[in-house]
This record gives sequence, C-alpha cells and structure tokens, in this order.
Amino acid sequence: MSAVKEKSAKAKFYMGILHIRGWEFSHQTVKTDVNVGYEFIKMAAKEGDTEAMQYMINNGASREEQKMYKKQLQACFKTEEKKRAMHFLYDGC
Amino acid sequence: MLRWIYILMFSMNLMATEYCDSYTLYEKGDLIESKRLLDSLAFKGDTKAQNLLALVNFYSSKMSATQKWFQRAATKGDLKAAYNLGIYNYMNANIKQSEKWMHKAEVLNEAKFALGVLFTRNNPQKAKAYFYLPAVEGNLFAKAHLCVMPNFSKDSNNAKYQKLCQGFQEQASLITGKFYDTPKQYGSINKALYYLKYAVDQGNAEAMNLYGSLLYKRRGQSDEANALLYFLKAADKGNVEAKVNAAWIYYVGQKWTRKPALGYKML
Repeated sequence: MSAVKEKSAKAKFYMGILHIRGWEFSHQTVKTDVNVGYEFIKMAAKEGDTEAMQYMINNGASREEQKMYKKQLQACFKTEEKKRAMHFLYDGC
Repeated sequence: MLRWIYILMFSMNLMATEYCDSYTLYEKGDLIESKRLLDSLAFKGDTKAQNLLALVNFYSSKMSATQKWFQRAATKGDLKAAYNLGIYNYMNANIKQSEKWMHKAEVLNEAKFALGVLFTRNNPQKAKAYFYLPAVEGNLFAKAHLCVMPNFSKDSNNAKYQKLCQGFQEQASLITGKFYDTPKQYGSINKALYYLKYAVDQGNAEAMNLYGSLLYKRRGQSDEANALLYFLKAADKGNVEAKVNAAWIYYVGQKWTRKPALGYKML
C-alpha cells in the first residue's frame, strides 16, 4: 500500500510537490496539475505537517488561509518549545 | 507583635499570588506580561521568581539576563536554579561549570541523570552509578543510558545493573539514540548512531528509520545509498515514515538510487 493511503501527512506533502512541479521534476511520473498539488499540500497541512504549512504560507494561500496556517504553525512551534523546556525545572503554583 | 505577623503573612500571600499569576502567563506564552510581574518579585529576592525570570529571558533570547538570574537564585540555594544553570552551561559547552552546578543540585534526580551524562565522557563507571539511582525511581532516560553502557569487570554493582536492564536493551538503545538526536544542543549524530546500532541489529523498525535519517543528515547525498538500505528495511517492517523517506530518495537520488517510478509507487 502507498504511504499516502496509509495516511502519512509527509507523503501527501511530497505528492503535492510532485504534482505542482510536474514531469520535469518528477522524472515523468506525475503530470503537472497545480490544483491537485495544492489539495495534497492542504491535506498535509491539516494533518499537522509543518513543512506543508510553511509551503502554503509562502505559496498560493489566500490572506485568510495564510493567517490560519501561521496560527497553526505557531501552535506547533510552541509545542516544540515546550518539549525543549522540559530540560529546565521551575516551580508551579 | 501579632500585627506584624499578620502583615508578614499578608505580604507573603501576595507574593505567592503574584508568582502564580506570572507562572500562568508564562505557561500561556505571554512572556512580556510574565516578565513584568516577575521583575519586582525577583528584585525582592524571591528565588522561585528569579529562576522563572531566567527562563522567560532565555526564551526571549536574552542570554546574559538568563545567566544572571539563574546564578542569583542558585547561589541562594535554589536547587532547581542550580540544575538549570548546569544545563545552561552545558548548552554553552562550559562543562566544568556545568559539573559544578549539577553537583550543587545533586539531591534532584534530574541532576543525578545529568551528572551521569557528564561522566560518560571520562568516568563511565561513575556515570553508571549516577544513572542507577534515578533509573530505579523510574527515570526512563537514566535507565536507558545505564543499560546501553558496557559492564566493567571490576564493578561490584554489575549484578544489580543487569537485573534492572533485563529485557530492556533494545528499547534502551532506541531511547538513548533518540536522546542524542534531539534537541539540537545536546545532539551528536555519531553518538546517536552508535547507540541506535543495537536496536537496528535487533530489527527495530523505528530505530532503522532513524538510523537511515541520521546517516543522510550526517553526510547528505554521498551516503544516501546506505540510508536508503535502512529505510527500505524499516519500510518492509511496516514503518510508514521510512517508506516516505525511501520514496523521496528514489526521486532525488543520484546514480542507482534514482528510481522515480518506484518512488511514486511507494508514495
């Protein structure tokens, strides 16, 4: 079974890139279809792939979508930062 | 007299509430507001607040302030601040200072584990002794580190180490490998690869995928054939992440690793 069918967000992001860049990049395996490409990347972003979110912010998202992806990305970074902060100790309430 | 006791209790209560407010703000990620509240408490000499203020400064990338407040709290005997100062020095490759402050916080299990990590460089037997105590109390990282280290023939504690590590070696290898992979400041790809090898040899798919990623991270495309081998082995065992990694190498690979049609099928 392919990785996309196994619900891998990263696979969806790569699939999106292949569709957007088309034959030239994907060595004649995927025809250029920007709409399908963006659909894949949007799905990947929805499933929490940070690279996909970043891609949507930099390319092709409307202003409202950009806002949403930025918020989502910030939340992901905060979680990462919390993981980093686990190494430090401090008192709670 | 009673009046003064009431006043003292009231002001202590007020300080605790203020600390709680700043703590909540810090947890929410509002560093500016949290810092504003913590500033006055820290200047009054509250070590808890000084420690948290150091962290707020750390996440605001103000490193000299971070060190200053950790140091103030640690010298007044705050154990958590001493531990944090040890970590901070370790992150800045100041190993001697790190060891000094970790010793001051040695009562804490976290500090014992950190001392274990520090001693793995020059006194592995002592490192094992440090890992053992937090490991018994349930610290998984300490247990993993203890179990991946070799036994020393003259160590009288070998029997108790072996008893603790029974059936845990594969997981220990994976946990320790992951520990050296993330986060960045503690990371060492070679160390991670070294510790992961046991789990890889035992056929652990997650370890194989991580091993492949680290090989690729270390030498890039020049080692992609090697990385691909591990990705494929892990993918065979059902690791989806490894499948994606292998597919991507099939796309961007050089020479025989370039098999886009196969990559597409895997994606």
